[in-house]
Amino acid sequence: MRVLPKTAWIRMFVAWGMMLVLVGITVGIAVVFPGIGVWHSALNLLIAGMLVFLVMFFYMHLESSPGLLRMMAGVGFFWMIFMFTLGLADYFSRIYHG
Amino acid sequence: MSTKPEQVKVQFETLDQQQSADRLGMWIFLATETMLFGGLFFGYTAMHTLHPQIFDKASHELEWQLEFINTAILLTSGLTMALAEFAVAAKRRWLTLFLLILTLFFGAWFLTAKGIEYLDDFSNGIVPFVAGGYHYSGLQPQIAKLFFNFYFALTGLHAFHMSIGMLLLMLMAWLTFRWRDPDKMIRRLRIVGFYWAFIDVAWITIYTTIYLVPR
Repeated sequence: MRVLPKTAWIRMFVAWGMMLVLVGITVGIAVVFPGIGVWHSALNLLIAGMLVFLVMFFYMHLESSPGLLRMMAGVGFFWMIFMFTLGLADYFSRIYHG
Repeated sequence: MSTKPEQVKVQFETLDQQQSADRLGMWIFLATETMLFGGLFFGYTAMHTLHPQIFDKASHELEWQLEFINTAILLTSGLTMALAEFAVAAKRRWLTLFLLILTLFFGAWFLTAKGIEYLDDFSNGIVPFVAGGYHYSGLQPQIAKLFFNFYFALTGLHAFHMSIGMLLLMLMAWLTFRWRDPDKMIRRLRIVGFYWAFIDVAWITIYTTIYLVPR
């Protein structure tokens, strides 16, 4: 029987705690301060990005993965951002010009 | 001539190389999954941009409190899954099994709560694709229908992925119980762990965009 990697376990628990705190903050922003308008949406999306990063970094072990895997993990998101940018540019420009 | 371990497939030189290929393959698969969810998210974002007030009002029909707890449960299941991967790497059979069963329990909790929310949605009359299931009385019911269709498509697709994840976890729990080839289990559990964590990623995005941003 091999020894469990204690520091890795502690890191994982710390990451989990951070995620729970971030979920609490994002819900707090949306529910307690919805009056801050567009800022609450921007903050919610920013925190979602942080949560996704934490999940990928710790639960999907990107922290200890080689560069090729890290790049592959980013590629899906890169193409999605590409799709959103081009697609939304079309929608926004149509609204803009009436 | 060097001899390879039995579990290394013919096309690989070493076990490390094989594991890297396994993981790269899984990441490529998850990139395609990102695009699958991404198409739906894009449709939702575009429609939200066109009808912001109607979508925001329609979102108030959803149970953000229930899903807040569900989000915490799902993130906790991600933790137990990641710990199971550590446990199997340390060849701790029963600890691995315990953590897998805990992950399954959290997954079942999430899906049950989701089912309860769907039942609630039906009684609130916001299920557009069921006969007699839609009698929304808020702002512009026909356009609000779009919001509810996106809501069910995204959460339904997520629940479908979770169900597949649960089946994979059950298989992993069974294989861990048998404990025939622990080294193979390390690789298998890492791949299933990627999939389970991707489910977390998808849910975080759904919860933020459907439940929180429109509030």
